[in-house]
Amino acid sequence: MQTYLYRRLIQAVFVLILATFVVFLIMRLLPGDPVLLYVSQDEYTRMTSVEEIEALRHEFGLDKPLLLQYVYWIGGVTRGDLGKSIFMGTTVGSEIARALPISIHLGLVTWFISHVIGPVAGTICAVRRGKWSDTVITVLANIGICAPIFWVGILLIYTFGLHLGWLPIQGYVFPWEDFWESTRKAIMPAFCLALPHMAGSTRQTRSSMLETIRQDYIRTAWSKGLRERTVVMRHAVRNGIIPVVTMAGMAIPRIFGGQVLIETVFNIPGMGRLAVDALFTQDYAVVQGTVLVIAVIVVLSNFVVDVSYGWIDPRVRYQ
Amino acid sequence: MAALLEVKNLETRFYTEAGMVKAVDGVSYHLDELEIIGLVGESGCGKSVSQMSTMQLIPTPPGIISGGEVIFEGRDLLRYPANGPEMRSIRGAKIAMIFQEPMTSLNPVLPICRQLTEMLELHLGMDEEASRKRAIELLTLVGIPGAEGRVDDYPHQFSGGMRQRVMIAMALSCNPRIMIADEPTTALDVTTQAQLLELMKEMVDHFRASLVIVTHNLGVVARYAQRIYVMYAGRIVESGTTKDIFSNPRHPYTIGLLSCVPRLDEERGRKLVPIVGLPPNLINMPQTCAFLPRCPYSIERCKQEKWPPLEHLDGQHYAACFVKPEKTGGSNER
Amino acid sequence: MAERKEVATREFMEAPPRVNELERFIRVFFSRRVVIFGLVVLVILLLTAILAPWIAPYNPYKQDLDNVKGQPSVEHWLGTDTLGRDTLSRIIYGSRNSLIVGIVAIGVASGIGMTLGLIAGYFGGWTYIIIMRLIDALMAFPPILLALTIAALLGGGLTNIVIALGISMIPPFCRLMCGQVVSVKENDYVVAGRALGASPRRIMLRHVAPNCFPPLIVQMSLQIGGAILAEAGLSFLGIGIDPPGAAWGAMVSEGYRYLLTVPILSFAPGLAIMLVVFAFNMVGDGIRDALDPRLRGTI
Repeated sequence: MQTYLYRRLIQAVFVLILATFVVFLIMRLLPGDPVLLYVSQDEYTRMTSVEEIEALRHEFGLDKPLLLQYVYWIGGVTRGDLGKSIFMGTTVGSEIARALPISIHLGLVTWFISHVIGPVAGTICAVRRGKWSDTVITVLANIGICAPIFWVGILLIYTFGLHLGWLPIQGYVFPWEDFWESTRKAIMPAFCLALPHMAGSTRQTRSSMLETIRQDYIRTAWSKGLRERTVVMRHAVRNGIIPVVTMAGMAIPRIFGGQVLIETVFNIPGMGRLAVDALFTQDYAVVQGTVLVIAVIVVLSNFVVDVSYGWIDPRVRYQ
Repeated sequence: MAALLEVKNLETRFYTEAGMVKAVDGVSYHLDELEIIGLVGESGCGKSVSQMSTMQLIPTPPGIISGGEVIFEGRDLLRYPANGPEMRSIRGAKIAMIFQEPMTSLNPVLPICRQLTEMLELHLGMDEEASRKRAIELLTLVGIPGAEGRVDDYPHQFSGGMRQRVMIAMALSCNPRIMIADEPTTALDVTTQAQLLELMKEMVDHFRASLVIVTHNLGVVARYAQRIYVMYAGRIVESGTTKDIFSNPRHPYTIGLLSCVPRLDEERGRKLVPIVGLPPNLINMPQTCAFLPRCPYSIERCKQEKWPPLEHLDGQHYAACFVKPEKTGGSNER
Repeated sequence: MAERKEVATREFMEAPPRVNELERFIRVFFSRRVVIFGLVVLVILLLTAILAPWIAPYNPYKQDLDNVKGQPSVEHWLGTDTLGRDTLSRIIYGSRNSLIVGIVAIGVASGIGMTLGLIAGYFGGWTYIIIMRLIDALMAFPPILLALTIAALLGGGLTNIVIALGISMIPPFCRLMCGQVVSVKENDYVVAGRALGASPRRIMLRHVAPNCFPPLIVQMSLQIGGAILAEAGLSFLGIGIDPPGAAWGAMVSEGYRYLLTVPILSFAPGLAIMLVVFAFNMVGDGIRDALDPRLRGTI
C-alpha cells in the first residue's frame, strides 16, 4: 500500500505542475498583448507610444523567455500572489477567498447527494431488475443526464419560485449565518447541479451491479447459504462500487463546471460566477486565478480518490 | 436404508429468446451416506443444472424448476422458497458445492479468512476468534502451506490449484453431509487435477460426507466413484456401479464415450472412435430418443416410439435403450 | 460384431446457426423501442436542419416590432421573442447550430484524442507517461470552464467554439483509445506483424487501430450529447454564434428575463436541447448494445 501511495503522490505532483503550465499557456492565448493581464483594456488603448508599452512589458517581466515568466508567476502564486483584479480593484486572492467557500459548500453538498443517491438507486435497479421500480428509475436517470442544467434551473425557478412561491429564486446565504434560509436558497441550485451526476451514477451503478451479479463469486456466495442482504452488500456492492468511485472522481471538475452555469442562473457569488464575469470584463488575472485554484483542488481531490481506490480494491495495492 | 438424498423426476426449464429449453427433463437419482457418485455427460447435457437445481440456485428468470422432488432429511426441498430460511440453512451447512472456475469463484475484494469465517459465523454460530482459528485449521487441512500467514491474503495472491483447495475448505467448513463438485478440475492442469481429486476423497472421508462429482471426464470417476449416472440431453440414459458401466456399458452413448477414450488394457492400434454428429439442440426436441441421430445401433422401434424409459438390467444397472444387448456388445467386453 | 447402421439422416442433424454479423447488429439495435425513438428523432433533426429554409414558417431573423413577446398563437405556434422574431423558426434554424457544433467538436476531439491514444498506447514507456499525464492535467479543468475560457479568449464565433469544445473533450477519447490499443497490441496478429518487420506506422494504422474502433464509436455517439449540452451552456452564457444567429442556449438565456410573462421563450429551446441529447444518448446506447451482445440488458 505504501508504494502505491507514494507513486500516486508523485504522479499527482507531476500533474499539478503540468496543469499550472497549461493555465499559464492558455492565458497567453490572449488576442493581443499579454500586458492585458496586468492593465485594463482602457489603459492599454490610452497608451500611444511604443516605448510606454515596452516599459510596461518590462515592468511585468513580459520580455523575458516564456519559461522564466512561468517560473516567476508560479513563485508568486506559491507566495499567495495571484495578481490584481483590474475590474474590481482588489487582489485576485481576496476575490477568490470570498467566492471559494461558497462554491465548495455547494459543491460538497452536490457531490454527496449525487454519490449517495446515485449508487443506492442504481443498486435497487440492479437487484429489482425488470420490475416497476427499475423501469421508473432508469427512465428518470436517462432523462436526467440529458437535461441542460441551466434550463432545469429556470424551470424550477418558474415552478417553485414564481408560481408556488415556496423557495427563494436567487442568492446565497452561508449555513452558519442562517441555516434555514441557507438551505432554502441552496435546494434548487444543488438539485440542478446534482441532477446529471445523480442520473449518471445511477446508470453506472446499475450497469456495474448487473455485471457484478453475473459473476461466479456471487454464485458461490449464494451457495454458502448467505442471506440476500449479505450477498448484495458484502459481495456484490463491494465489487460493483469500484467503477462508481471512478465516476465520483470525474464528477469533481464537472461540478465546478456546472457551477459556472448555475451560479449565473441563481445569482450566487461563487467561483463560477467570478470566472464568467471576469471573462466578460476582460479581467484576465482573475480568470487565470480561478482556473488555477480550481485545477489545484481537482488534482488534490483526485489524489484522495486514488487513495480510496487502494483501500477498496486490494488488487490495486499490489500492482 | 433410506438414501441420504433422493431426487425424483427433476425438471428444470429455461425460457430463452430462441425458445424453451428443458435442461433437466425428468432426472431421478439417489445418493447414500458416505458414497461417491459420478454424474457424467458432455457440455450442455444438464448435469450442472441438475445439481444447481437441487440447491435451488437456478436464476429465476430465465430458469424455473418446473417439477420433481428433492428429498433430503425427510423433506422435499423444492417445496421451500428458493431464498427462504430453510434453503439457506441447508446451503453451505448441509449441502455444499464447489464450482468449475477457481479463478473467478472467490470474491476478489475480501480476504480468504473472511470468506471462510462468514460461513462459520452464520451456520455454526462461532465468534470471531474461534472462527478465525477454525479457518486456519481448515486451510492447513486442505494442504495450504503456512496457513496462518496466508489466511489474510486475497484470492489473487493464490494460484488456481490453491484457490480450489480454498473452495474445498469452504465447502466442508460447516461439516455438510453432501458435497457437490461441479467439474472441479476441468480448469486445472493434469497434475493439479490428480492432487485435488485425492484431496477431495481424503476430505470427504475425514468429514464423513457424501460426494457427487460432475464431470465429462470418465477417467476421473473411474477411480473415485462407486456409482455412475450417464446423462444425455437432460436425461439419465444409463446408471450403475462403476464396474457395470465400464465393463458392460449398455447405452450406445456410454459405449461411444468409452470408445473415444484410450485404455491401457486394450490391444494396440485400436482406432479411437468418436461419436459422430453434434450435441442436440434442446429447443423443440423430438419425442423420440434424443440420441437417435448419432446412434449406430438404432432400430425401427427407436424411430417410432417415445424416448425409452430406464430399464432394469441387473443389480443396480439400468439403461434407457430399446436395442438388445447382443447387438451392442463387442468392443468393450473384458 | 455389432451391427452398425448408416448414421443420421440430414433431417435430424442440426448444424449450428450461422451468425451474420450485420443481421445480428440490426436485430439487436432495433430491439428496443427507446432506441428506435431516438433514431427517429435524429432523422427528424437532420431533416429539420437541412430543410430549415423550407420548413420554417418565418425568417428567423426578421423582426416584427409590433408583435413583440407574443404568446403562442395560431400564427406563431411558439410565440415571438423580444424582437418579434418567430420562436419556432428560430428553434428550427438553431438545430443547424447545435448539430454542426456537436458533430464537428466531437470529430475534432476524437480525432486528436484517438491519435494521441494510439501513439501513447503503442509506444508505451515515456511517451505513454507524458501523454497520459498531459491528459490528466487537461482533465483537471472543468470542461465547460476550459471551453469557455478558450472560446472567449479566441473571440466568439462558430470555429472558435468548435475548437474550444473539441479541446475540452479530448481526454475520454484519448484514454479509451489508449486502453484499447494496449490490450489489442498484445494480440498475436500484431506480434506477427512485428516479427515480419512491418513498420510501427503500418502496424498502428492497419492492424491495431481498426480493431479498437467499436468502443470508440460508442463513445463518440455518447459524447455528442455532451458536446451539444456544452455548446448550449456556452451560448447561454453568451459565447456563441454571433447574433442574429439562433442558438438554443442563447434563446433560453434571452427568455429568462421574461420568465413570468412569456415562459415559452425559455422552455421551448431548452426542451429542444433535451430532446436532441436524449435521442443521441439512446442511439448511442443502442449502438453499444448491438456491438457487444454481452452488454445487452445491462443498461
